[in-house]
Amino acid sequence: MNSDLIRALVVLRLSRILKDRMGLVWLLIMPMAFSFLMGQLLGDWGGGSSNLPRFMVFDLDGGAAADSLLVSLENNDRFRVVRSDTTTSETAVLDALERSRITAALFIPEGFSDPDTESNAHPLRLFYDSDRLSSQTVRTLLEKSVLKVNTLHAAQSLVWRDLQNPLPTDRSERFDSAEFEDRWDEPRISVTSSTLGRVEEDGLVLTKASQHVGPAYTIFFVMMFLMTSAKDLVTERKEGTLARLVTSRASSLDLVLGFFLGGMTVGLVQAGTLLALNSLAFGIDYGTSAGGLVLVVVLMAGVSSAGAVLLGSVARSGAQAEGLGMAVTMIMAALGGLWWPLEIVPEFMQSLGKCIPTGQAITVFHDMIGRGHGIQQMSTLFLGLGLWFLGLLILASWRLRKIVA
Amino acid sequence: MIQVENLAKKFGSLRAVDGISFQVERGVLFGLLGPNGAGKTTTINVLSTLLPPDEGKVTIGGYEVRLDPAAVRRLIGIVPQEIALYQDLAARDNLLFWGRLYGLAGKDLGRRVDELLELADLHQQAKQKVETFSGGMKRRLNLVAGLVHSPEILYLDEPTVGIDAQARSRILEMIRELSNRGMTVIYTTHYLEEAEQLCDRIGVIDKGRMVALGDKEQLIDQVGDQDIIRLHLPQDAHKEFMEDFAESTDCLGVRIFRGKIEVCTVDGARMLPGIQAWLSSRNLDLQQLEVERPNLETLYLNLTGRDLRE
Repeated sequence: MNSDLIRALVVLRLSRILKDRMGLVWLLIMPMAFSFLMGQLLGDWGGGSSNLPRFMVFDLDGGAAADSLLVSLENNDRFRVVRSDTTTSETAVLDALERSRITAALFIPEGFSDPDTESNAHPLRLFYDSDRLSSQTVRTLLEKSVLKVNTLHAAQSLVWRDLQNPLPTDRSERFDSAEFEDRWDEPRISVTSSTLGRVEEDGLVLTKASQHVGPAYTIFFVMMFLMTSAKDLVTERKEGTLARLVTSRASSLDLVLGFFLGGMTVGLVQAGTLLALNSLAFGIDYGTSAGGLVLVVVLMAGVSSAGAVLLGSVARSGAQAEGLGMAVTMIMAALGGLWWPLEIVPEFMQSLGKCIPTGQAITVFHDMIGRGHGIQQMSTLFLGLGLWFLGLLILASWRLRKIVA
Repeated sequence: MIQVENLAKKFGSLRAVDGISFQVERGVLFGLLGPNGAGKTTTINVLSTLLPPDEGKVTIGGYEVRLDPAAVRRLIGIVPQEIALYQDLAARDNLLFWGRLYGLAGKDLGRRVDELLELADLHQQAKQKVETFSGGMKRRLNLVAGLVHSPEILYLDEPTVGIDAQARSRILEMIRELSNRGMTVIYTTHYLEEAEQLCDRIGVIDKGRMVALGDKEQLIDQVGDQDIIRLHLPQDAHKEFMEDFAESTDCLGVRIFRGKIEVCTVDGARMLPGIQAWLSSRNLDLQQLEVERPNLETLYLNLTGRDLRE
């Protein structure tokens, strides 16, 4: 194995791509444009509050505690909180949700503001549409607001038990933190929430559409760019450059590694840049597992590059390689949940999705972003990705060596 | 330098190369002449280690291609029929890449690339992408890309296909210059005039077989001191003409080829007055007449019964 020759092949691949303006468009600009557009479509951005998903509140109480909660809820940039002017039945609200007229509905029960009410006597009832990714934010938003109101209530009930009167100016003298702690253990307000349609996986909190869209389109475009670049290998075969490479000092192993690592380097540069741009532009936090992030990117770039070498060594023409590369990427993207979260598809399709590299990679991202998982907790997914990587690399090496040997 | 003994290569049931033998001495410019599909490229591919021989033995610089392909590759440079270059890279970048692939680096590589650009007369276009080049410029760059590691032997597989006469002439000049520097060259072509003009030794290949081998004079001597007279006559006169002239003492043979009458004679000039008299006596107009001295095409025609360009 000659590392200088392999490096020359890798540098060649990178320099050809960097000199190709159209290539750069597909490498970076298109993925970012898609992330932005899809993020917007799914609710990350809006042209004003009127474009935000509607969070309908049915206040059957009308008291001070309900008001506090509503003020807290309204102070957000994710949903448009609409106070219902009329009381309605839960059935009517559920119907509206089913027809997608509103994203979420909150019932504040009568007696909610009564200071003497026991905990859980009048729980808040939340209904939301989990088919819409952004609706998952509702629960987080409500929980935050409830937390605020609970805190306020605990403090108020300690120092001054009448909620109707303003807080005294000198609060520090009358505040007993120990008693506050006791009361906090038994929060006054509780929430029961119901999702409609499919059941959401426990603990998944993707608060922004771009948290799915950013990584999903990164995986998609890395795979698409590399798979369609399989045509370059066909061109090398057809136009004699491969023959010239074979008669150079490079061994067949050097050539296989050069082609594979060239593609993988392009994939790593593309994925790294896109993930960084998504983080900067859309504020995506990839969690705390840097090792997990690096591993998933390396494995996904490896899978795509090995797939491209395999495809490029079996396709009969450049057009066939490009078409097949595109088709494979589209199918893998759809099945793997890159265009929509796997959580919303039927269970058997979820299982299928998690058996293919795209599904494994996006689930790793969801686990890192939404659940804060590390490498150990995602070991099964990494094992699956690793097996794909090894399998494709072995097949691609065998096939390409057969051509060049 | 190159020894080929009973080389055969099959693709399924097709024997693309069928037991050819030849040898090429150091510094010789050897032409492999034959029509498309004759087996020239397959032969070159075996000699380049790109294809393993099915039968026979091929030795390059003392190394057998089947046993020691890596050693053979160090000796050879190839110029494939296709433009084997990266079209989206500049001429200089292409040569730098191929140089690196052959282990050159640093100043040596830069110097070598400059020399080659000079040789190809492309130094002023060094930074231009190959895709912007004319056919001739691409061919010249394709040729020097095979020289980047200063090989002892150069294989050129139809390097002038698809270019105009001026560009072809420039390429042939370059090849002659390389040969004059002592490089051993194997040159495949189906242009007989190129082989005649350029090559020291020529092998004529047809349907995978070597039908003639030697230097140009030797090959033409095989045809003998014969002229070919070609006449274009009305078709109804063909039979009579052939009957009358077949018995002539100057006529070595007469046939109809591609609608024309071909007379093979020891002296074309001596036979022409008789032909003219024959035409006048029958009030026939001579539509076309040409007299051709023996050449490689005559040889190919004699050996295979077919035109080289068929």
